[in-house]
Amino acid sequence: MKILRSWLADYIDIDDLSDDRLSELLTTRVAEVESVNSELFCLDKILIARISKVSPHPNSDKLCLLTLDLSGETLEVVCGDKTTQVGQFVPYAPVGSYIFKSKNQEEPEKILIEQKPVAGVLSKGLLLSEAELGLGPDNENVLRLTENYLGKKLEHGSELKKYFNCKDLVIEIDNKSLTHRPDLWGHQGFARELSALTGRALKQEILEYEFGSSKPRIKIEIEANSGCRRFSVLCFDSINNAKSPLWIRQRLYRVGSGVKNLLVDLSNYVMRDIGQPNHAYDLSLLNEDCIKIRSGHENESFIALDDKEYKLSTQDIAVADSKRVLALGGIIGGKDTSITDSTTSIAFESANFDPIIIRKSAKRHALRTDASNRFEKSQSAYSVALATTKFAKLICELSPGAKIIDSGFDAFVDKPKKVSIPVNFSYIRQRLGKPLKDDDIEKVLNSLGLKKHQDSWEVPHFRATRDLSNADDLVEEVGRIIGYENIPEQIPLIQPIAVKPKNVFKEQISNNLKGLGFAEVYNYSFINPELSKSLGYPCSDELKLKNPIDSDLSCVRSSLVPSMLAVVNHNLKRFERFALFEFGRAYKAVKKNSARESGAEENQYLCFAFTSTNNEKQEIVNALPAVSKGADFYSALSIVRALLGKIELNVNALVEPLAWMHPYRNASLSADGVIFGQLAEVTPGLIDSSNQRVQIAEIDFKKLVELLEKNEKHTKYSAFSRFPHSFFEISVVMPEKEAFSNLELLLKSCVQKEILKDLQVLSVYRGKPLEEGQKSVSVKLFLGSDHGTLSAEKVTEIQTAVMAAVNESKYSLRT
Amino acid sequence: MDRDLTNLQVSVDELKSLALNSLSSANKPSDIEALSVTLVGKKGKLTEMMKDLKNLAPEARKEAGALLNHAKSNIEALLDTKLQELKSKETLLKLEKDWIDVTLPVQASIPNFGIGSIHPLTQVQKELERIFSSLGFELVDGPEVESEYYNFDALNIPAEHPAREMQDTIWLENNSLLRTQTSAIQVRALENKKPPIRIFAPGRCFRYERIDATHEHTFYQMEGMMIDKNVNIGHLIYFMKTLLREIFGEEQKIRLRPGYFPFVEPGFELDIWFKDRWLELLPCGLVHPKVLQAGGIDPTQWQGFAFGLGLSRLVMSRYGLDDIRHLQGADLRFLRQF
Repeated sequence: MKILRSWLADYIDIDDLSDDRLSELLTTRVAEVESVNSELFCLDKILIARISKVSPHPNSDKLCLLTLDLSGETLEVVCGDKTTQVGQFVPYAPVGSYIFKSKNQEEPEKILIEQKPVAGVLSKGLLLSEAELGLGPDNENVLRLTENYLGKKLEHGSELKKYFNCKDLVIEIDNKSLTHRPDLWGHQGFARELSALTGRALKQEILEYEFGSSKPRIKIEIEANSGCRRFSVLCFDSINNAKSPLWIRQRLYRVGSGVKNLLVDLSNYVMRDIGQPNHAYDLSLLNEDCIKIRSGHENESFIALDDKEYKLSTQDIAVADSKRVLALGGIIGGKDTSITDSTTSIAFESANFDPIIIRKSAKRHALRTDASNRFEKSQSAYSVALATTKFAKLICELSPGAKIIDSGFDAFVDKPKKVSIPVNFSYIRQRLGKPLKDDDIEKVLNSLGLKKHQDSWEVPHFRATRDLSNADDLVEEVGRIIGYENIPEQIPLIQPIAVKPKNVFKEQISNNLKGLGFAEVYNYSFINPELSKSLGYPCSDELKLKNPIDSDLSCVRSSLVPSMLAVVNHNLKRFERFALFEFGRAYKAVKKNSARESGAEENQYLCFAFTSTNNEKQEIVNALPAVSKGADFYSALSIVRALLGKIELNVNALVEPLAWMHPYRNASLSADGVIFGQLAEVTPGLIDSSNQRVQIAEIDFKKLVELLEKNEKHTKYSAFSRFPHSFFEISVVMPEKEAFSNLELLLKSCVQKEILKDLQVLSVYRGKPLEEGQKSVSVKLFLGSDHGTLSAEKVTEIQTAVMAAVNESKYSLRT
Repeated sequence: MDRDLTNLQVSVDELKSLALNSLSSANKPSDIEALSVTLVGKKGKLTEMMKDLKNLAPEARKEAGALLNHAKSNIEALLDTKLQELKSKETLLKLEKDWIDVTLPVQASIPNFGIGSIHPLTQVQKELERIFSSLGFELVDGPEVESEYYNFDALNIPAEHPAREMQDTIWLENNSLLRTQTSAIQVRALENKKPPIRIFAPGRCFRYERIDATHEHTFYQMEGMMIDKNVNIGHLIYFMKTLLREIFGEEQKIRLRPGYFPFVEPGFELDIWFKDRWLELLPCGLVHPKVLQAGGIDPTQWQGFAFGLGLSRLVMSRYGLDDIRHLQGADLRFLRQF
């Protein structure tokens, strides 16, 4: 919202405050000033000229030549506005002066006027439009200066800037910082704040209009529960609805309001002055003498000022006569009773409505107006009659002859309760942390319009909206008026709290992965549900977004894999070998047992991925036992083992691999009987680059941390054996696709756990002389005892038992 | 006429059983393609039958046409299902060559991926964690999918409060939402802890926002809150100054000005003096008594302050980032710079 320094000065003397100081005061004590602009209004050297002769331009039909009388000097200019007439007063920019050449008042462009020929005739300067003067929106015609418009007697030859306030400051306030301050939606409100801040009284106090009850031209009926708290109407006639005077147009223009004609302009002016929205109906178009404020009827049609049709519902407030809706209450007026340039009599409405109903209604109709914006912040119902006073005063002044024709009608059905706040000054001192005197606190509260009644402070009507209601609100009022910079910092006396470090494992693992060459990524929590489903992670309907930003982001993710796969593909466009990891949450729908529950279970996962070229021969590096393919998969397992430290990893092929997984290269990861993750090579069709392989692992981080913590806790020293280990090797022939883990189980079952110190696979062999579909696995078993050297007999005994067990199984010994 | 239709029905049935028989013996995708040509192709049997329609009486044509169209789509669906089945079988067969024994305990080396990196958000968050911990604040964590209650109601933002409009919210079908602010953690923490309380909570937040270089629907904040006896604005100023000194490495010139957040009273915007002008840095304030009450804490006994740090913004200014989208972009050209 924009406010003007000159407008504030109507209410309070701020001449001694510099622009900077004013803006700083407002920002630090009242509301955030977003920007200030003082560059607009310095039009020097513009003179008032009287047209003394109009003659045709010799070379152009579209132009004319004007002789200007500047009181003592006459000169000739070329003009494009052929409606100009002898005797009219116009603004004249002599050679050497500047004008504004931009319709956009935010970025005006200053242009120097030079003496130059226009269509072959020398023009000594220019006649100006309102826009070129920076005074208003009209850019079409040369501005006609009249006494009515300028508000003063005209003298040709004198400087135009004598006639209006050419210096001003446009202050733009951040609307968000006014959310809780309905009283600050007009200049009067800011003037009140400045009064409290400077200690100066307001120059003028606007009194409530005293409505009579004797002879209302229009009666008001307010239906119970309609959402209307107060509705007043006052009627005027003999109005000359001409162009508003310069100062009104200029002010409205500068604060970014439209300008139209006197009545519309004054209605807007009063709103931006008092903060109270209002509306004028053309009285001659009101066919009945009673206005009813009621709830809308379902599907009731209404054509508004903006020429659009709205369908009302019972949740809207309708201002209506017996046949039609005249206005959508608190939001917008109707088209068929609206003010036109020829309107001479009006019914002036000033009213107050329930903020929540207005807010919902404006939202439903997608119609946020200046009025609804103000009402939804909860305007004071007592401002209603202030607006009427102001409007009546202005219309009678600016349209001589205009008069009030009735007693008015004021239906004030829902008077707000007075708000009184009991407060102990020591509480204020305590919260602020500053030893203020009682007198100083009282002075501040008084300056804000609060009145003391015994131990309570009565809040003035314009702050008794939803704004000031408790002692903490008064702490803020006192704090901001004295200035927070005047509160000294204090070292608190606090009880020590021992802080347990968190995220220790996360930090460790991140650093480990970084050391291995992984780059950490942050992916969105959202996913395209179709994509996610196609990869094996269907999104639950409950966790789909009601208002997705994008259809590709319309569900929260249930796994980190889909987004990881997407970013791997993204980076494959530029990089061949790389590794990524993410710590992030995935979400699962659960039943809501109360409104306080979110209905989602969130779990933290660690997801990592890396790529490799799809050349299996190249991959056979540094693997023990040597493998002919899938080296990257085994590398991925090595990474998981690195995360686990000395915890033993158990790997099993998944019974039902997910859609993204290579059906023959996937595993569930477990340790200590707990399944904590999955690992797989991505099935080839999902990788954008055909010569790349990608491994992805997703680890339930909570479970991993539990394993690591448990391991850390149970770590105990044990003396290491002083006795040497023995070993023997066997080679077992088994079906090619039989999992080694089965053989491992068999072998382990033959040897006591305490004696079997290690079991290593030396090699896996396929080919002749083995049969097709067979492989031979050579294993080395390390045996030992903590109590003595194992005897050769004992070793042989174990070896024999192992060989017998193999022979008895479906495998055989290779001889 | 009826006889024509009956004859047609017989032919269609024959065609269908032919299709079924041929399908059962098809064992590669090319078989299906060949079958498709014979049955429903341009010169296929069904197409020929359709051409014969013109010989029928006009009244029968419509019914017969429908019969044939139905048969056609029926057969096409059968063919397609079988084709998909065979294709996936074929893929599976091809992939079977890739079989490895995943249970084999292979000691494989880890390839060289170049230099790794930690995301700048993590790095800045770590730094803040160290500072907060040293000031006696405990790290707490709250849900990202949050109920309306903790994100709004408990923070003194009832339904229809205009402040809700200040934050464009992403809603879920189950009527929960994605938290719009880490402040949602406040009441959860108050419920779970006994005062005195000093907590901080970094986390991901969400707003309904189109993304561009300066706007993101996903961003990061860090909430801080202290509850103790007789906490006042002077204490808040002290803590903020200490915090900012630690973050920026030197004393910062700051100012408090009124800021409106329904869960604090008074509420402030804290600005720092940066490059010759005031820069809005963090919202803060004394915890609103209603928020304390919502957390089961007696506001006549305990008070406190709370503040929120914009982590994304801090990261951007720390590293001179000109585009917020990089933070979630996962592009190695970005990531490898950290």
